[in-house]
Amino acid sequence: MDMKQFLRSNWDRVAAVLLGVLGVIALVLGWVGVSGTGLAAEQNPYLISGGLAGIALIGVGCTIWLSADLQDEWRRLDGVEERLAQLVDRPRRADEPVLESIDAT
Amino acid sequence: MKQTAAGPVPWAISDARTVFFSTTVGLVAIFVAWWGASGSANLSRQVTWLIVGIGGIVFLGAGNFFWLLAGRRAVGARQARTLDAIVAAPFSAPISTSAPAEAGYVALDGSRRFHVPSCLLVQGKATKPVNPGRRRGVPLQPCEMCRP
Repeated sequence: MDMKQFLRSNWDRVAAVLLGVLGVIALVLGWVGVSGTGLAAEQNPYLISGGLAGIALIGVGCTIWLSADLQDEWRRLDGVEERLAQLVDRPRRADEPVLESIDAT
Repeated sequence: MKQTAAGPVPWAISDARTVFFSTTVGLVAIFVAWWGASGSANLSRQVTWLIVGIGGIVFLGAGNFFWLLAGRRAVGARQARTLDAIVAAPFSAPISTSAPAEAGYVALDGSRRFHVPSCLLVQGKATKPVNPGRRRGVPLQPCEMCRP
């Protein structure tokens, strides 16, 4: 699988990683800003833009990644149900395993 | 994406609206909080904006949490339905559930427990293949060690 195809089929996970990286960058920039001044009034904007925004970006990235996992499970269930329908519709050979033959694609 | 009777994704359109709304409102609240805090040198006013930002992140987090919860529930419910369908499927040849002797269960003579042949309790001993359901009318108990 080449890079382009990989990115296309895993766009949601790529977006999740990018958001996570952006969130970490925001946290680091916020920390740099806060540590560069001793005044609380100057630190608060960094706390909001770096800290809260960074946490929000990481959280959204995690949600997208977990959503991709759930969609994968959903697609596997599509495969299981299709295979099950095929097994029910046609006669089964005596030596044919039932559950083992269900491939989760 | 393949369309099935269950739908292409585990979520309903209302779930998507909810997560989009909560994420947008949360990010806007954080941006507004930053805008308000950076435009003021008054510490108490900044704390107020900070609380707005925290409220935004809580709102965003709640929306994302319910999105994942809805997806997890949908996948779980479909897994249960699929398992029910497998169990109830009218296969042309019945699936054996009685674990007959040819499945490989053995028992020692005079014992009321049955084992898998590799069980340490029957290694090197004279065993007989058994049907775990009954032996001479007496139901056999599964071995507590090999748990057949």
